[in-house]
Amino acid sequence: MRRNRRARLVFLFGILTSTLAAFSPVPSVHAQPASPASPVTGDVLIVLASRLPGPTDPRLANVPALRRSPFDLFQSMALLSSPRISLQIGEPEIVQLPNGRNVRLVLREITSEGRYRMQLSINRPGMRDYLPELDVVVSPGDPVFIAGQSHLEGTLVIGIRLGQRP
Amino acid sequence: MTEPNRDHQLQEYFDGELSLEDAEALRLEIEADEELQAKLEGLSHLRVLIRGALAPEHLEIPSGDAMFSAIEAQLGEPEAEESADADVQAAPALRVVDGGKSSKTEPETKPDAKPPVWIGVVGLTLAAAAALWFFVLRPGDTGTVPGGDDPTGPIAALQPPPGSEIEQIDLGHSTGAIFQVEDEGARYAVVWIGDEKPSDLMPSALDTNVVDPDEERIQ
Repeated sequence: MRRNRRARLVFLFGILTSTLAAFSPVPSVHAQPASPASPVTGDVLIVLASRLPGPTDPRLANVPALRRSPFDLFQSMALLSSPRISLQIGEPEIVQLPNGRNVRLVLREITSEGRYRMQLSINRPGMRDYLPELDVVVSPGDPVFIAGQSHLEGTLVIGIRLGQRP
Repeated sequence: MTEPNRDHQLQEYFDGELSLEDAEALRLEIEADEELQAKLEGLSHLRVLIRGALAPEHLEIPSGDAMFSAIEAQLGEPEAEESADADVQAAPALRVVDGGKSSKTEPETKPDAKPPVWIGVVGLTLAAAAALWFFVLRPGDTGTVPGGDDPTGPIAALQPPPGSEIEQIDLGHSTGAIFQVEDEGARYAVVWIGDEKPSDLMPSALDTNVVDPDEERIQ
């Protein structure tokens, strides 16, 4: 009699567990923080904007923000380079700019919302920092711009994007 | 003696309810009176008719004393027999029912019957499968990083707010401004830092769109 009851309890427990497991919500892939070993890829857009009339690089067509004010004051834009970056949390990445400065990028964390919190600085070795520190939060695929450096006959516009926009 | 009294006395004589003296006196009168003889004969005939009209079982009805005697005899029987009968009748109402079991299936269950093994086996199998799926095979614990090596990763599952935001900035000795460019509902942070010749390079439109560079400057 007791064994029979025990077997029924085990059977009911199995049914209950299966039901709970089947209908329990599956956590999102991004609900957990990124593993430090998992790099986050992105790119750095190095754009030379000028007030001189000229074409706009077609590779910048997917960056509509560059067509908004105040960037629309520039009459030409050339994509000098777009180096790919791969950031790991806490490990700095250096990108060289054409004017001799370096952009130093550090991925601090991935927020619970799936955004990237990073720290960057722009300086020239042995010289005074141009941008000592900038802490920014970006959504995947959305850029942050740092503009204003003079180069040749124009101005450098640096766009930094991490991840892919959904 | 009046006529009704004579008839009543004759009825009592017929039923044998008169005393011996009265009965003997009335018997002498009946022998001498043909009318009384005729009435007595009529009573006898009436008795035959009544007995013939009544059912035979009614004729066997015991007397009142006999019935009371029978009841007293039954009441005087030993209580053991009565309690035994009472237990048999009251057993279903007072039976202790095992929890969760149907009263219909109870008599069919054999006391020494073994439990069905397949129930336990199936239950354990389902529990093990559920535990395996829950702790090992369940998706979502792959540790994929958003925007990592898999560009098609399900970033949309979380849908963070679009755009970028400046949290903190240190311009050092430089002069600059921060503002945002809006496009399709997203706001992108822009930091404009003056270079060696900021007056020659900064767009004049910034004068209307940006916060005073001196206020934004963080030393």
